[in-house]
Amino acid sequence: MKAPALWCGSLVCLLAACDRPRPAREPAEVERAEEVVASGDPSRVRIGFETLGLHEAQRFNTQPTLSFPFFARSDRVLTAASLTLRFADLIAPVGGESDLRGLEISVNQEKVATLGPEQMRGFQREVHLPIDAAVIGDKNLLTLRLLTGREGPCGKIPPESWKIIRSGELEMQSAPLPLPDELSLLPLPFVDRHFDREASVAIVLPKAPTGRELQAVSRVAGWFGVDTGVPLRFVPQLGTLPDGPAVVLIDDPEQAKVLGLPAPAGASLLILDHPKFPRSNVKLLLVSGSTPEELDRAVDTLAAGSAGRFKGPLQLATAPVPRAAALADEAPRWLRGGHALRLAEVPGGEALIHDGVEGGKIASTFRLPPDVWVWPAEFVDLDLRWSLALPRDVPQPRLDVLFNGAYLGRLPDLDLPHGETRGEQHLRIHRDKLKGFNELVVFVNYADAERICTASAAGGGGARVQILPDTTFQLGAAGTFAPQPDIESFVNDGFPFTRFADLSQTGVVLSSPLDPAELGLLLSTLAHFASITGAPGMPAFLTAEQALEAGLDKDLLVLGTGETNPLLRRWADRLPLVLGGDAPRPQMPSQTDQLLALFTGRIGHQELRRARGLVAPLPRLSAAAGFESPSHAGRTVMVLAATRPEDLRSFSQFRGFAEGVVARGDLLVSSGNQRYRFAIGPSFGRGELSPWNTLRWFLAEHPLLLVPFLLVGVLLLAVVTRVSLERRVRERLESTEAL
Amino acid sequence: MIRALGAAVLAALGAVALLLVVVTPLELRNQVLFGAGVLAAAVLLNRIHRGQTVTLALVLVSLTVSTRYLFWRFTVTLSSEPSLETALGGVLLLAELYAYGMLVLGHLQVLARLPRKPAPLPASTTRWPTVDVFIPTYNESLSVVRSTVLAAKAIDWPADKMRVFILDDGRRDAFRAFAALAGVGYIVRPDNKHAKAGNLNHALGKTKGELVAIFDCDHVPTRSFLQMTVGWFLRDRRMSMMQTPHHFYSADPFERNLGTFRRLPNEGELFYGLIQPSMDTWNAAFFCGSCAVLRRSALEEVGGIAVETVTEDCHTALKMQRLRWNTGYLDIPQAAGLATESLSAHVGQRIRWARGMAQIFRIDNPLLGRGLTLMQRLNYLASTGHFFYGVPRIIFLIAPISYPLFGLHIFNALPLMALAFGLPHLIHSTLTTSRQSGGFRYSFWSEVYETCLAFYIAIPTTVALIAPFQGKFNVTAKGGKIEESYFERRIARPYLVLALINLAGLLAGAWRLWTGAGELDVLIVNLAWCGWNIAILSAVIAVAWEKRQLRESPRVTVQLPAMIQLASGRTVRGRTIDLARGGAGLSVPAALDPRPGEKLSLSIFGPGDEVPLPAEVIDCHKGVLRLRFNELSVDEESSLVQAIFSRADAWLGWRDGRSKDHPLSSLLGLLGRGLGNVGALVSARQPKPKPVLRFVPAPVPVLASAPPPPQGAPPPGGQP
Repeated sequence: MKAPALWCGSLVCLLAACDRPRPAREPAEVERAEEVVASGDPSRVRIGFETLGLHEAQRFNTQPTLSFPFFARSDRVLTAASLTLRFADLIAPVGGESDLRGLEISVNQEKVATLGPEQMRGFQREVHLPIDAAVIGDKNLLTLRLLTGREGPCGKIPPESWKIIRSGELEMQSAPLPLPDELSLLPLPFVDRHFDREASVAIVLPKAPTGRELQAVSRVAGWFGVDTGVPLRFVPQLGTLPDGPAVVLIDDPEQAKVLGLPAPAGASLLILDHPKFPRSNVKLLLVSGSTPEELDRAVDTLAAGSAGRFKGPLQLATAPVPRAAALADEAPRWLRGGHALRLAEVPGGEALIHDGVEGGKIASTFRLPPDVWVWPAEFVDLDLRWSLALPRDVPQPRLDVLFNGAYLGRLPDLDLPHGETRGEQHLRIHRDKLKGFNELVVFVNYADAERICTASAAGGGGARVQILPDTTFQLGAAGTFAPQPDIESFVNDGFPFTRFADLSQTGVVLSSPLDPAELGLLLSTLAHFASITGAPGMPAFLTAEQALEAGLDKDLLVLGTGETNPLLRRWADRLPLVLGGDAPRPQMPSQTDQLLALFTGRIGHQELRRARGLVAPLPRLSAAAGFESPSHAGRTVMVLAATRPEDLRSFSQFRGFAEGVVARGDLLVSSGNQRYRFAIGPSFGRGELSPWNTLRWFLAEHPLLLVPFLLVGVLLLAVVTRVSLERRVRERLESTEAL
Repeated sequence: MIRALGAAVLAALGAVALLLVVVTPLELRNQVLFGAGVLAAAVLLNRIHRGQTVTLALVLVSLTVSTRYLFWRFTVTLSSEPSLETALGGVLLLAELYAYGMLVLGHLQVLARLPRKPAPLPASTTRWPTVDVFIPTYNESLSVVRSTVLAAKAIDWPADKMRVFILDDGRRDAFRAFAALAGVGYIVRPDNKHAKAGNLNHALGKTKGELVAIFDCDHVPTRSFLQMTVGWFLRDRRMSMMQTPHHFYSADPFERNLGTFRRLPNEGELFYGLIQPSMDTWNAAFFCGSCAVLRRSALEEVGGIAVETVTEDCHTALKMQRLRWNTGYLDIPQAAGLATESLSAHVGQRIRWARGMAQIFRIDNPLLGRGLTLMQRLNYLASTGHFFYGVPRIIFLIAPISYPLFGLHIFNALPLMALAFGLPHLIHSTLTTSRQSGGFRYSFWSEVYETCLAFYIAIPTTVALIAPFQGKFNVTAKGGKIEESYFERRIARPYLVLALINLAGLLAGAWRLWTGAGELDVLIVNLAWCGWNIAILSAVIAVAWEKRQLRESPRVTVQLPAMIQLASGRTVRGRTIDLARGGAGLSVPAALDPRPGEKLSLSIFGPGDEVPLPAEVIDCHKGVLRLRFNELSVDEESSLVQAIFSRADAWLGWRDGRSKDHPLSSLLGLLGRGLGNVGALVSARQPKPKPVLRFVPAPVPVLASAPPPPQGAPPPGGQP
């Protein structure tokens, strides 16, 4: 079972939860379910206030009331809760002790407690408040109301008043809610996509998998990646069932028998109770067939659509699902590059609206092919169009635009702010900020609270800011190219493997014999790729010998440790990191490489020094490293490796902030919560560049090579010019028209 | 043909390589690396070889780096957002574009100096052409003009083939009398129409020599002037003009007020030492109004001296070259004159030059019209375009305050990127300019010269573009003296204001740094820029502190054998140390101890006949005898003038003994002088500033009755 304390606590989450499918609650089943004890104890969960929503920015909120939703997982029901509040030492932020009248705590609009100033005062005062189980429902709202004597217009309180709450926790107790055997509830019970921030999924294979079975399980992992939308960790098991929910793949009736499962009813998907935990929430998803072909069809059926297509506990695969070959840079979740991209093309781009006079933000996210290439242009032009509708007396809001966290500018005030007015502003996005996953955010801030409140009080509602759908990213001149290796693009966008969403250009090389941890990492990686593209992929599984074959036209994903994977042993000298021996260490490049790096200006030399300093203290680590395939120029090899097999946990270990000096890199080292990115080895490019731009790009990557170019150029011209000047001087001195 | 083709291929390959360098975008770190690599290569090249190929290579490196900067500016830093910042940024970019254009043209202009030597004259003087020597004057004192006339008369040329004329637009009797006494022609005209140009054209109508030599009235020729220059007219029948340098034997305001006379190149040396000889390579040397010989037939073909602009000299040359006449420049000083004696006079003179060149640019643009080769057009463009630097300089002086004072970002890029691209451009252009022209102008001195004039030429040049026929000829004051040091507040005022503005920017930036109310990197770059501006403005302000100048006739270092006959009849051998029209310094035996005021006679063994000069002793100390000449006859004065000015080698070796230009030490020296002077200015208790410039009245009583110039007619005279 998954670890506790992985809760979602935002308002967005609450709103999403309103529409989420929830299993029917039948008393008999409740009784049955309560008897079940699976591995782990999800019945008691604590959520910190930070996670709940009282983050640093909220402490500057001038509203006297803050509300935080909380709820349980879809397959559980809340039974009790309690609140712990810790107060700051000083009460000064609210303007002095006399201003603090107290704090009112409510759940679902039922008052839980009102704390007086004396209860909040004192050095790190802590208050524990039980919440009556009677007021708790499926979806709950915790409300804190700060009572002060200094409430301003519209009841606002001075900024930073909320700093009085130093920290706090909400503890929830829950009981399981029985789940029916229903495929349409998938990915429950494995993942609650509205609740879980990450999840583990157990996958059972009856025996060591063949290449074909690996492809099947890859697609299943990919389907989870597409459908759940949260980082997944897969825990493969060979020949036994875990004590919890699991996905089981079977292509032989005998295998089902060994696992104590019913024989496959042809190519089918079946959700059923775990044999060890009958009539419980511990379910198994059986993806099965009597033959490998039938298993493929069952997997195809799963991969072809979302769970909403299924009904009941059993889904038979009727006919083979045709697999259309994916095209480069085309994925279900990617917008097309190479054209003027309008927000109307972005899902939700038609309704990017902020209503009301409270501050907020309008955000639009979208994915582009990661190899959309605007270089050598420095910027992507963004023609941002917006409309503003303001009631009388409401001043114009300040509108600040950010793209992927980079501040682009402030939108100018419009001439006629009252009534609906439209504006257009040309902004520029630096090419480095354009990624595979992109987010355009417009922050809306109404500054003059008093005027706004007056206007609101006078019935002046209806303020609206809209980012118009014809807002356009000028990507018409963008080409298709990507420098490789690019560890950042690999981690965030799965590139270059995701370039073909079906992973048809991807070859995977695993250790021999296969380590389950390694398979788990592979599946979480493939699920991640699928979450990026929106399509489960099916790579080719290759042996080391196949991968070494000259001319192998695939990008290679290689997993394992230096000792277990024969291919890694063969290419050990190409890896920027040596994993064997006593401790991992950055690999010293050959002297030729070092000299080349020095004289071409490649950053590798400095990065190597940095890597040696940072990696040396890490005895155990996992790493992602890339280099150009020795089998085929222009293809990428990406290695996911670790000092020990058990350090290969999940692709999540590579995600998140990684400390780096340059934007790209060929090595990512992860150890515990530390992540470092380096650019040590040579780079290469893949995509479509003209010969001229290819040369420019190469020189841009090797800046010191520009110096000899410059010197050769100037010397050639200088010699030619000097000869020409000498001739000119001679001619001038040998006067032409003597008397 | 094959060689030409090969050269074209090599040049094309080189150009492609440089194009690649210009247009390859780099990230910050890589740009820094590239900049450092290029700088290292350039410094190495500069050290290992002094030849022309390396100089050209360094010029190309500099231009490539600068072009790369500009390419980056245009492709990355432009904003189309309609805002004040965009508008101001556009103005700054235009100023940079101008500076870049002038950098390119400037390098092009001085690619190769023409090592022109004097062409020998035929052995038979019968083949020598007739020459009229014109000395135009308007309101200068006779004391200034006398030397020029006497020296001109002493020029070595067959007497029947040379006539000297004073062209007196002041129509003064004293001048007429002096002309008669000196045996030279005297030409006046009924009006002063078209100023100096009109004066010369009038004289052209009255004379008929095949060649015309023109000297401003303070430019004293050497006796070899015609023999040095005329040979080329015989060698090339299309030679229309032969110009020689304008050499000044007195300190200009910069030299005097900053104490650099003869230690550093003066303002004119770059033009006469490098630019004119280099333009001569492209047959684009132009007439500078004085110290030149012109062919009458060429002048007649273009309708005489040009009158449409106030820089009639350059314009005349341009007109002649449009008709395929050749011009030449001989880089041997064959005349010497007085530099402008005050900053205000200097500024006034440069305003006229700037206005005139802008007029040429406007009404007879060298890029347009017929008759010129491409290189002639570019050279003339460089010369005329140069004088538009006023507005760009002011922009550069104001630009850095925009962020510290107003929070405006007028440079739409990361400051570090701006530095990474901009610094190589600045450093290479400085280093290359130092190599190319360091012998004629030390590094960073152009900043001072141009900044000093920027405010004053900005408006005239702009007006000349719009209304090219506005403005009039102004005469440059010469031969005055400054009896007391004073601060030329009127000239310095705009620069004091600019310095205060930059100081305000500096303080505002410091405040922002202190309070954290600004972007650190933006502030640092802008503060450094403000600091630079203040340093340059300090030097400019320092120039405005006029040092006193008591001699109307500066002493000239001359070492000639001399004989002194004391009143006692004793004769002593000596050697001149310096000579002036009013007196002399001599090296004499230490035992000599004449009384102050003792009358004696001095014979100088110079180029002319030995004529004893009556003098009296000022003092004699440690073997150095100081004399004052008593009133001299014309013959005696002529003899003295010849001793001082007429020797063929009089002005050779003037640049000897100077150290090589080192940009860093030049910068430190400049800053030291500027800040030192300003410091002294601030700390000194100055009397109420009061200009005491005055002209020494000519020793002719009728001067006061000289008629004023007619209203509306620009007065002639002075130098261009």
